Amino acid sequence: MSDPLLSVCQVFAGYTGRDVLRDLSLDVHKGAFVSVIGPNGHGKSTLLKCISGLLRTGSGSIRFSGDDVTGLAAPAMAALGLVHVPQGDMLFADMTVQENLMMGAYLTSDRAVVRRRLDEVHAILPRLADRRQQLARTLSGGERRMVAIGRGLMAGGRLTMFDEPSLGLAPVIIDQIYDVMTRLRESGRTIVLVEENAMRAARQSDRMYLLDNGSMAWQGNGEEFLARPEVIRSYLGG
Amino acid sequence: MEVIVQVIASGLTLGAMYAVAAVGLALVYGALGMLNIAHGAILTFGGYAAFYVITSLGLPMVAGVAAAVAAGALLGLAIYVVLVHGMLSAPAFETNIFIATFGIGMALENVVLKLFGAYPAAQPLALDGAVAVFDVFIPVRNIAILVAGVLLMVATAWLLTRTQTGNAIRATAQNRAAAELMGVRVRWIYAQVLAISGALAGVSGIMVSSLTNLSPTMGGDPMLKAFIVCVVAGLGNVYGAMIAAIALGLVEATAQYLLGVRFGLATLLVLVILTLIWRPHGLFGRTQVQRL
Amino acid sequence: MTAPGKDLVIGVVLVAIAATVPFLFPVRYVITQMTLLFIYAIVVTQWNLVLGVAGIFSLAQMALFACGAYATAMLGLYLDWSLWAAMPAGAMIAVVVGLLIGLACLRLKGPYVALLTLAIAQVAYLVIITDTDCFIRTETRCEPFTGGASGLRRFGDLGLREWLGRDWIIGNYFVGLGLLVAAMAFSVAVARGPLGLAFRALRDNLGYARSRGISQFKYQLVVFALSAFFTGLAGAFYAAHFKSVGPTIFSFSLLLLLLAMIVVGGLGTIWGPIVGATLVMFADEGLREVQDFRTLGLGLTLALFVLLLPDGLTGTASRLLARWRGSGS
Repeated sequence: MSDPLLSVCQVFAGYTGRDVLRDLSLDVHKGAFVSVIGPNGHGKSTLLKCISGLLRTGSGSIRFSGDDVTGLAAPAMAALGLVHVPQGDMLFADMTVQENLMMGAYLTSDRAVVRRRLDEVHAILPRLADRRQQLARTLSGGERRMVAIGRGLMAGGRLTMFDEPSLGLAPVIIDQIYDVMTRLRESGRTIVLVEENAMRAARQSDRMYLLDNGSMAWQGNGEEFLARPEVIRSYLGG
Repeated sequence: MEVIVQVIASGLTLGAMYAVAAVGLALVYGALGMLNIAHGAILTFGGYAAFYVITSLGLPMVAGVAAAVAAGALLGLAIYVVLVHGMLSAPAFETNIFIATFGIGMALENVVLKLFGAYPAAQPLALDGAVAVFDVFIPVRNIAILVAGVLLMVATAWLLTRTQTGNAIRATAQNRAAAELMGVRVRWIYAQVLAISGALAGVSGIMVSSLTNLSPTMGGDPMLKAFIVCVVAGLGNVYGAMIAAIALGLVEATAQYLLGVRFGLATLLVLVILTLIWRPHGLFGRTQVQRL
Repeated sequence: MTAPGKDLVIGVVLVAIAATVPFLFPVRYVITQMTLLFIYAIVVTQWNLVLGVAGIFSLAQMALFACGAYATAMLGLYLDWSLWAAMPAGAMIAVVVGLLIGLACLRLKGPYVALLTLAIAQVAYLVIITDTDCFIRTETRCEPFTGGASGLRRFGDLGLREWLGRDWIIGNYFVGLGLLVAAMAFSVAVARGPLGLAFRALRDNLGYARSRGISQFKYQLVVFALSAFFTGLAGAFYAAHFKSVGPTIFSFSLLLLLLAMIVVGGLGTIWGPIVGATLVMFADEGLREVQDFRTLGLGLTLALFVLLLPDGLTGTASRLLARWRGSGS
């Protein structure tokens, strides 16, 4: 088995005075679809922030594409091709949909490549083409989520992380989001998905990690997860 | 009729001047959340830089403008490197940087005083002559200020919407963390914003001194008025600042005609207090949801 | 010893030292400068309360100082009041003005308060300095209502000359010291009392404090108005002691001086204002040779302190002391 694209080793991290992640390790191989599940408040978002560089790790190491990237800040990680689509979208509220998408490709200088990615994003998320000139602040919740995902895809990253893409959305929209996830998976991209709805995530995932109290409580692939009702019950309350 | 044309001409001139000064302040506040109280001193420095280059070095007018722009940009950059960079992550940044830039501004004024003396000097970049508009004679320098102001506004808008740097500045102002995730090196953006703001201040220094003569303390009043413009518009709103600047310029010109020059600032002050009572976040500002 | 107990001891020691100065150095210049120091120190203690404890980013302190000064001068000049009555009246007028400013500004965010109060101070300055209409017109002179650029004079004094003869200046010195003690006692009481705790709660956890019924606006308004009293009183005493008052008290230079005093001493600390005022005043005196660069020096000092020692001398000292004690035990 080749080396993982992303490797998180024994990481401790948190906010002032409080460690949220404790001795956390996980691996993501190229082309895999990895889900991180677990109860809320147990560190899933913190994990993504550490990887993408928004948060400094206390101790431990992170390797990306063979290089040690521990302690690199977010812009540097983005330059290495690591894309983080954060929880709550964090759109640029006073920019249009088009401008938001183009910011996703900020680091890409080849205009032809950017054009191509834009066409791809419009193909996967047709609503965005319709609402090109609309200000982000005037969009509905589902539309904002689409823009956030589209913006992340515009970066053309080597690894793309999604933090709870279905959060706060109506079931109909959630279905659409998961259709997008399926398409992304089929295209062979390397994806890390943080998700509260473990069942949904399980059906897509090559590998699942269960985060409990800041460390890895269980890992396996999607089918194993679905076959283990006791894991579901004890950690996720049925 | 004559009076109206004169008041309007005067108001538009003031407005253009304030717009150039205010846009820089709005950019800095929007991107960094910082009130740059050294802005007035940078303005003064710019005016004097032009004066020095043209009178003492004998270089042409264009060089004077370039000197003002360069002096302003360098001062802005220096403020970033010396003060802002070190204080950004410390607590109470907004308060502390206000105090620190106030101190630096006063120090800079003292330097200008030592270099050029306290006596008012004439700005060589002031154009002479007048032009007849609707039977009223309007000084050419006023028209020049208006034209220059409009050009700079257009240039700023172009920078913000059509360049990568401008997009990065807007993104940083709207959501810093998201901008970092896109790969924007936010610290470098901060330095650029301060440099741009300084350059604009330098140019507005030429404008101000072409109307009222150079003096070491000339920067305080325009800076205060530029801040009032920003507050009325909603701190951080660049396009709002442009509009508010023109409006407030016209209001001040009217008040000066009706009440006398000494009540110009007082009128603006009353206006801004009333505006804030009606709209606590400025005319175009938006309430931030307080997430507890 | 408890904190208030320690404060009392320090205070008594300082007052005792200050009381001996006019007798150890019976030089008119020294006594006058020390009196000026007391006046500035009063303003700085109050401003520290407003800015450092209550968290109100106000730059109107000098405007309130000027209120007290001008009100006292005008009451003495136009209504022939004894300055002993005019001073507290001047202070009350400053309170009223403080309330008005507070009502207009305190509901707004920090930067807005700072800019507005700065603008208010500047407007007051401009209105006074451009006042040229003659209010009192005689054959020999024309005096504007507010004194204009040259200020107000000949409105009376504290009358200690009758009792103390040539030593009236020492009498004034002790009046100033007494006012400083009162102002200091007030600000210590606020900072260490329930209001001080409430402000700390508001700063540490706004949501929780609000949910417990602590109204930031109301408390800030109270502190702002009360501190205006002592600030105005300092201004009133300034007018009474120096027997003249002019628009220079609105200048940015004076603002810079006082701001430097607060920052050097330590914003938000109990003794910071006294430490800062004394040190900056002494430094200012000592550097009289290089007068030309005074503003430059003060400005750079201000910026450097904010950059490197944001807690000021007192704050940094107590932090280091706590760490040294902590590691010892």
